[in-house]
Amino acid sequence: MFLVLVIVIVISLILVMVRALLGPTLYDRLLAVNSAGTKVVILIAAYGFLTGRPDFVDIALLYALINYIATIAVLKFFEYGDLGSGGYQEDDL
Amino acid sequence: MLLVDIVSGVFIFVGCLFVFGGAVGLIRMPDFYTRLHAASVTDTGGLLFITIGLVLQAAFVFDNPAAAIKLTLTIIFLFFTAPTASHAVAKAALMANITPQCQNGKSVVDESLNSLYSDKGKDLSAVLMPVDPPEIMSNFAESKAESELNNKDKST
Repeated sequence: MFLVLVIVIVISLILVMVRALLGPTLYDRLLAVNSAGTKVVILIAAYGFLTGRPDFVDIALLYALINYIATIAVLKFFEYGDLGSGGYQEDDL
Repeated sequence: MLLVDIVSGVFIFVGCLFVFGGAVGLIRMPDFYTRLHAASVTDTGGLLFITIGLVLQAAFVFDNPAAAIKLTLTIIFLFFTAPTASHAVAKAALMANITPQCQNGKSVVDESLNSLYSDKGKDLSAVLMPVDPPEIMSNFAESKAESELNNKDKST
């Protein structure tokens, strides 16, 4: 059961990475990377169960946290060109 | 033991269908927003089903309640963050003037909004965010100054 789960997730991970390589726009690639991150979270947890060590879910939880922060950070960087800005330039206010 | 295996197997199978369907949708869909829909919805749903199956396995087969609790935390966390990340991607794409497509290949925003707003470049973001945040800020500052004046009047 876990073997099937891992194989299905690896296949869908490959499909998603194809979209990340093909993607016509930046946002397609970003969406694919975000989706791949979610799949990797499941993959880490499932691999822990497959090898009989369910403690791998610690790493999965950590990866979920990092994935979210990374997506938001990359989006903010490409929208404003700066990670530290509050979204609007100071002379606008 | 056998019942738990069957139930968690069904959950994991349904989750696998969701995840695989989402990946195929991400490849096959014609337009960015349809791809976003395919990917984000199935990711959240597939994650829910797979993790429920894994929680059942961890709690009853592996006899490891700590792992079950951590998996539940992962579900709760991803149910907040995955839609938020999808929303942020969609909003950033709209701000970058990537417009949704109709079935005939024309853009929805071109048909509905550009009849109202002739300029295509900057005005699209003005339509999407009708009130300018700096304006809100200045209104807030003015109303705050007014209320302070009123308070001074009352006190004197």
